[in-house]
Amino acid sequence: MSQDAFQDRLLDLAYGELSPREAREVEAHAASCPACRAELARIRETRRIMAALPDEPAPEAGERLLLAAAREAARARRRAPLLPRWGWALSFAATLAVVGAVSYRILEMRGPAERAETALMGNGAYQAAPAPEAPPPAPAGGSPEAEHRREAPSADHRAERPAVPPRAAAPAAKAAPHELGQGERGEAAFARPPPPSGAIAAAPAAPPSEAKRPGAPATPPEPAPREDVAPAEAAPPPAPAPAPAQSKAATAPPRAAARLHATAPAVDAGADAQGAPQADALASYGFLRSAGRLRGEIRTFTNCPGEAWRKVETDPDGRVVAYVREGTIGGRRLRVEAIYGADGRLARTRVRDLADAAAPLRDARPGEAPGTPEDAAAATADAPPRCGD
Amino acid sequence: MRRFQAGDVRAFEVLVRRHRTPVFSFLVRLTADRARAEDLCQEVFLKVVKASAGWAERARFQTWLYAIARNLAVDESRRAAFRRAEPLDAPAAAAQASDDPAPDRSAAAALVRPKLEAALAALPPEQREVFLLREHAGLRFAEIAEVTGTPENTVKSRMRYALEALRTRLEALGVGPEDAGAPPVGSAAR
Repeated sequence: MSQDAFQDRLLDLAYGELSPREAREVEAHAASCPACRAELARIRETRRIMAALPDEPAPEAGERLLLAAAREAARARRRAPLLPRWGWALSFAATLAVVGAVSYRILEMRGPAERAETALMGNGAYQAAPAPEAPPPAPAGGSPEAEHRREAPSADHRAERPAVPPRAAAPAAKAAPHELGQGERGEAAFARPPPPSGAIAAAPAAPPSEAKRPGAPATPPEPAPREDVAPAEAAPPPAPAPAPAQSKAATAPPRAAARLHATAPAVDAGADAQGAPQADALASYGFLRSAGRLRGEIRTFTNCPGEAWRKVETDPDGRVVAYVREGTIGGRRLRVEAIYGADGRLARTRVRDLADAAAPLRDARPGEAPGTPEDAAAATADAPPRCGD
Repeated sequence: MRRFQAGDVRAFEVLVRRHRTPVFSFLVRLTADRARAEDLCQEVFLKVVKASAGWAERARFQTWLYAIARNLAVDESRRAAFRRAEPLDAPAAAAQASDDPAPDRSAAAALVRPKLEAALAALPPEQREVFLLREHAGLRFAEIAEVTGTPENTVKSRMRYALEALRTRLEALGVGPEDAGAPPVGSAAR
């Protein structure tokens, strides 16, 4: 055994890392070897002296944050085990739903696709249909019924669209001018005076799936091909700004309104997000939080006085809804809480002065919390720390 | 840790109470910067929370914990070096700055403590790291090899050099076995 190797054995012996048999062997050798004995004694002595060095007590300050993070993780974990149990059933149900929805849409779309191109482009002309009046029951191909058939898919589409998350709703609105063939936003379409009808009469027969819809002839024609247009039917005043979903539901024909709620429970949240008042963002955040549907991520930053730590909370769709940061801002130790609406814009900023333990969260005055991200996209957990603010 | 994995937050509380001070102590002496050690210590336990779902008992919890602490300290040290801040092996000003003697220590021990801190801080970082992981964290040499990613022989060599350097330094500072007194509570089980 080399000298180094034997010294390693002495070290192992001093630290109790040898088996009893090996320890006896090394001790026996050390007893007969003065140099080894002296080395072993020195190791033990140095250890004994250095053992007088006590631990540095950790500061209490961060413990609460750690426990909060642990609670958050535990909550998330408690939800997660449900997935394996129900995963297959959910996947199966979701697959069925998707297949069903796609098939339905294909069936719906087949009729319009079979129409002449001019008719397909003629949504604008369709909007220009004469004033709603119950069409007499007529055989397929007749003008009023064709009108109804054309609108029917649109009405269904209207009921489904709000289920799309608010971010997806924006491109849909952008697509509206093309649909209308008018180069205008859909919201403004209902304010236009109805152009003369005619194109509708030229529309080919509707798909059978539409023709057999019960109650269709008795229902007043719904000349709106898009949900944005619906309010205009009942209340035609010009309303260029997008209306919240509730008002749409309230003013739309009862059947459509009922479907709106029945088929798309996410409608309100999504539509609220479009024009939500700022207070709603806070209420929505409170609701999601109390329902345990938020996912939180906490990050700490070293040597970053302006942002010692941050917590970013996201909703089930992955949108950032809250961004909390703690740090020295403007010479004061503050906790800044930013709440974002579903449109991603900063809805509310609240501040707590940590120097005053009893101080509640209060709304920030302008300029009080500089560096608060104005947009949820800049309030992610991975965003660079705001050390200097 | 398994209990925390199962959703028992109190188990994590126990982990924090048991390991936070030793980890903080390790970080203070490794980085020689108290403020940085505080931040790093927080980050260590937040990482534990984050990684707990995927934690498997392949090694002792302490080994895993100190591997996180050590890696964070090394990364932070690199970043600090990049920012031209004080590096990991800087003089132990902060280590000595914590001049609050433990109330339950004798006056003699309180006098000796800064000398022990100074002797430890004077070690080269890789020796100090091994010494702290063995003496304060209680990891075995094989575990230290795993944590630091170095062969076990190298770990033992560093430990031998560390002990030798400490001995020399302590002799120069006039600290002998009679000055050490009873070992502190935190070191008794190591």
